[in-house]
Amino acid sequence: MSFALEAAQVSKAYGTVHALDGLTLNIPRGGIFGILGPNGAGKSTLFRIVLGLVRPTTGETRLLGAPAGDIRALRRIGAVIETPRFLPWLTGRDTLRMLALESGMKTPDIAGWLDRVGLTEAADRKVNGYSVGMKQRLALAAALLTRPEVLILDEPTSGMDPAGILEMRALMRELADRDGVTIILASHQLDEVQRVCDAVAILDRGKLVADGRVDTLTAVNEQLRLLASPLDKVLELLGARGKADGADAVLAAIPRAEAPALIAGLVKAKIEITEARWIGGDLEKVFLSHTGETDAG
Amino acid sequence: MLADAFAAERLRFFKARGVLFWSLGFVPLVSIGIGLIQGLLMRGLLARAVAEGNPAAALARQPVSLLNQAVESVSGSNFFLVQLFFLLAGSAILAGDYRWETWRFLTPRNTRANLLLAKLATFGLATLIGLVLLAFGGGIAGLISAGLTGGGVQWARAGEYTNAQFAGIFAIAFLEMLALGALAAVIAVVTRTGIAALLAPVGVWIVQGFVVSQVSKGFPDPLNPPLQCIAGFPVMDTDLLKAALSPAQVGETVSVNWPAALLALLLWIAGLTALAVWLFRRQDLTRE
Repeated sequence: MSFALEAAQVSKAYGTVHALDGLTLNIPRGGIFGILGPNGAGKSTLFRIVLGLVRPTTGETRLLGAPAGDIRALRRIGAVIETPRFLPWLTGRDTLRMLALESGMKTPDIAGWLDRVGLTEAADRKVNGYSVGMKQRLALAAALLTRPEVLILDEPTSGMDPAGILEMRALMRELADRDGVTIILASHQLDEVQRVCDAVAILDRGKLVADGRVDTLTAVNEQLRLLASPLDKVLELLGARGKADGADAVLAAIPRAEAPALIAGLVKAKIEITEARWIGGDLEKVFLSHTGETDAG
Repeated sequence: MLADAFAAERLRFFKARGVLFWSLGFVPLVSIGIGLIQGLLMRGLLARAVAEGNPAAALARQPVSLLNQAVESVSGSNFFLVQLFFLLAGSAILAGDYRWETWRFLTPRNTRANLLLAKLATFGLATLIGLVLLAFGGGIAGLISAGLTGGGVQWARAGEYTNAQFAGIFAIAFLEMLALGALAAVIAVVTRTGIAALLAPVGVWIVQGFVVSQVSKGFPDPLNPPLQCIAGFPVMDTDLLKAALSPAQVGETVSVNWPAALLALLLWIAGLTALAVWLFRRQDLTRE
């Protein structure tokens, strides 16, 4: 299997603070991979190491098979990390021209990318007049300019309006599905991650605490809620795996694969089922259970 | 790759109109203004001298040498205020990405060595343009002065600077600015602040100038100081190189150890550049 990003026993200390503490993580190529973690978990440090902005104290990272900081590998990726900053006296178009020149691009499709991120009208305005959301869009255009194989996005929707967030999600999905771009996304917005990511890794205090496919991770916290009667008979059949939820519902802690057999058994036992739905399978619970956070911040 | 970085750096520098004006345009404009004021003063003095029948009036009406004016303007680039204006461009170019936190967009696109060398090359280009404007400013000031005093204009006067000497003075001023720029690069990388990159090199040059003036008093032949002094003080090197090109030295037997001074100055530029690149390549850009 080829990996977009590999980190082996990577640590980074700033004085006595350990931003990363022996992190080992492999992100496969293809799809959208989310990196979650509370503030200070080490997400941005990992990205900065991968981009060659900082050097790890120990350990090794590889990007598209090349050591971190290798300019040939870096030119095959695009990245937006932390709050985008630009030279305030340049226009959006000049900013992209400057970055294209820096990358050695002879015929960059600047107008095309400005259009794709919705900045055509503002292209010739100076960047210091841009809103935070517009800067995010410009940063995304800058990252996509070189048609990267891997796109690293750190909080890409922060500062965007709801319509912009929806557009961004659609663009990410399109890039991953149609253009085959591997997207590595760090976000605090767990519902966003759950909606767009295929797999996630959860970091806490610089360590990997969980990783896997989103549906696999969230399945652990899922329960089947049944509106059924008589309730006592359902509870009797479920045993330790069932508990009452109000006067007319039962929560069944079972894997999804067992649901058809359970429902068939209940019907056979002459139990009337009026509703059956999965609840609680959200990433937030997974996140909180692994990080001990009280809020998804 | 270096050419790519240089092209990008040029684009962003030449779009920064405020920096362009203050670093490259302001000093030549001031020199033109000073020429105008001097011309007006001189005209008034000459008018009075003529009215009083003072024979000095005829002497003062000598034609203005444009080449001399240009040489004086370019030579004046080692004045600390002029250096400060040139280094406005230097600090904007060399420390701008720390100030605006934009390294994160640049370092994935080119090597760090290329990025920093491109910045120094852009500063070199800015310096070149600034010195040309200074020379033009000096010439225009001379023309204004000549026009006001009625003294006439010449390209060069006999026994004074020649075209070749002007080229030499220009090259020395350029190299001195490059040495300042290379020092500013080291300071920008170490401190990550534009104000330090602006002020510290000029401070170092002022201190050097003072030390050199004190040390030189003890030399039997100030134009041939010990090699360790030539190697240790770039300010001394530029002084020696200018002395070797001054009209007083032409045709005289007094020799100046200019090859050693030139070599030392070039080594300073190369050494400081290499140090800046080495430091930048090892630097963690956690917060730019």
